[in-house]
Amino acid sequence: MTRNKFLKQLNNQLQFFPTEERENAVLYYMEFLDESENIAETLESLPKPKEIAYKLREELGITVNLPYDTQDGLLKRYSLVKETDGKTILLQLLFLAFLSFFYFTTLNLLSAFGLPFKVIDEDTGVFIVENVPTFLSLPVIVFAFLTIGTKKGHFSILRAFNFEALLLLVLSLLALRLLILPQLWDLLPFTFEMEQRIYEQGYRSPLDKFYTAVVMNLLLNFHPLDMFFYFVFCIMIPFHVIGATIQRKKSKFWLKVPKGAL
Amino acid sequence: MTFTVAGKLLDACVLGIIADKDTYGYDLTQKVSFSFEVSESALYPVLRRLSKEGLLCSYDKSFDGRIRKYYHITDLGQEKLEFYQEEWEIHEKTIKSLLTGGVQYDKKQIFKTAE
Repeated sequence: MTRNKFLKQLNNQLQFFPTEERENAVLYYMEFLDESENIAETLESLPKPKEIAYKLREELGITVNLPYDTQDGLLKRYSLVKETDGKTILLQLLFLAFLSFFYFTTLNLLSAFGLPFKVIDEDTGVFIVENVPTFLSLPVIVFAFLTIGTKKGHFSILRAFNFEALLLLVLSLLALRLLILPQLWDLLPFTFEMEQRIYEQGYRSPLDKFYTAVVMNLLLNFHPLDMFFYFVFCIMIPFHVIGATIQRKKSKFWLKVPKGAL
Repeated sequence: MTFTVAGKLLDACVLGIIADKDTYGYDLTQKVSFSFEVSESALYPVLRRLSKEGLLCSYDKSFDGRIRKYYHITDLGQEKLEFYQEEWEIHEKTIKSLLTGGVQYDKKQIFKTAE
């Protein structure tokens, strides 16, 4: 690792620190490296930037480890992102579950648009649904899983979502949906008879069956207005992610490395 | 070294070194690690904390085209250092009496020594 790489990594690792703290720390290590007689050797002996950041965070009593905690404007603008001190794994898993479900559903729906997803079975007279291959949503789930766990890269904004706000948003939209289109009430509880009729061939796990039932009920009772809700989900979240990313890139503290310092 | 120097003791050592002569990060680390093992990353938090507490102040000084951040002890830091020195003397005696044996069960003796 070179001096510049080390400093950049350290800077990235300290991105959750208040700007002044981060600058002081990076400058300290920059000076430290520049003063040492053998930079390569010193770099070897120094702990990894990640470890330094971890230690500093502990010792400086900075418990906030989520991005953008110091960017007031961003917090105000993107209300879904809030200042918070580390959420539990449970919350992350819940969020992951939500994301998986969301992506799964969206993908199914989007795929369905290109397919005849509402078909009347001539023999039985019931609606049947073209099955969208499940494996299509697998990469999305993996993606969601990976991005939730990582701190690196711009996807880390996912970690900074205000879970309560997100949940509230989803619930209120759902409530609105029920108010506007009350026939959705009829879907509760979801019936499995239809699902059984269509998927009686071949083994499917109970969870898969349940999920299929949910998706199918949504498809069978799909209303143009539902597009609005899906659009909100499809556009809103990417909007927050992209918007916050741009903000972050703009406010990034770039190291000023003097010429010929190496 | 078998015994680790950390916490307040490390604070005191850093104060002592800086009280002797104004110094910068790398030099300080060299001086400290000359006497006992300390990781490079351990000193930055100490310096930062001492500065925040007003025990140290810093100034920039250019050297060979670079800028060094020198740390200087404040009056408050000097007071603190004297306090640490007194405390250390007591501590040293206490530990010594414990280590050399004989008095470790005599609490009164330890307290007397401590006084």
